Amino acid sequence: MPKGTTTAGASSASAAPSAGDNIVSRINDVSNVIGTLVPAVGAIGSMVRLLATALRPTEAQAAQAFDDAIAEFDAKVAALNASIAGFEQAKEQAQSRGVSAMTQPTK
Amino acid sequence: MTRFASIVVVASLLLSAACASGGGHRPPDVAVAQTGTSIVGAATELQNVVNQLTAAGTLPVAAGQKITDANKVVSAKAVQLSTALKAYHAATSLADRSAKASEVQALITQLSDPLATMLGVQLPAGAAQSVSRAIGSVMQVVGAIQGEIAKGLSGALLLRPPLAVLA
Repeated sequence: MPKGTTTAGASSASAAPSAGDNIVSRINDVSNVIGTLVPAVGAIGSMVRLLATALRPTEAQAAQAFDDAIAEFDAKVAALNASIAGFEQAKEQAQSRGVSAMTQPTK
Repeated sequence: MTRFASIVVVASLLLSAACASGGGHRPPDVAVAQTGTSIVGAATELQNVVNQLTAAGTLPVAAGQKITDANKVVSAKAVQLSTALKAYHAATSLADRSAKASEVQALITQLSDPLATMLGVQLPAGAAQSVSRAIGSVMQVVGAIQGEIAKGLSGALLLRPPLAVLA
């Protein structure tokens, strides 16, 4: 080492980063974050699509749900018709009791 | 990076929960069929009450006959509604589906007519409460489905594409 030159002086000459170095460093940081975000967002999107597909009823399930609903509907209509037919029996019972069909309503 | 990964995991869980909450919607034709089932079920309960009170002599035969005749209209409309729903479900074109949806809507609206007839029947004091309560149950269900139409069920009936279009 030349006489009169201190080690501190020698190291300080190369330690101070330039403004350009700061900018490059920041760009690198942002690039790293973006580089991490993009595949993460893609992964989230794929996950959401998979979940949506799994949760959405298939056409076969929708058709089966309709068939079940219509079958229950038709069964209820049959029960109503049976009850309507039962009114005839109720009339006969009323007549056998000798109940007058001309009972005065209060309304 | 660990914190960021945690954020990603939490966000994905929230999104999956949001997808799950939106997956329980009934198709409109299933909803109409199920509501029709409720209407007919309520009408059956009403008819059972009428039958019991008529047999007991509490309800005059004439009054019971009027309500029964109105229930026959409900039954006839329900059969037509079932047929129309099946035709709607089987429609392969948007135009056909639109026509069938209109038919379904008209039949649902026509269910109010027999209810008005039932309400006009004079009832004796002994039968008024139970029969009126049963009629109220039918009206409540019919009102609910008509409310669904007002909220946009009719739009959903028209907007749902037929299966052939989706294929």
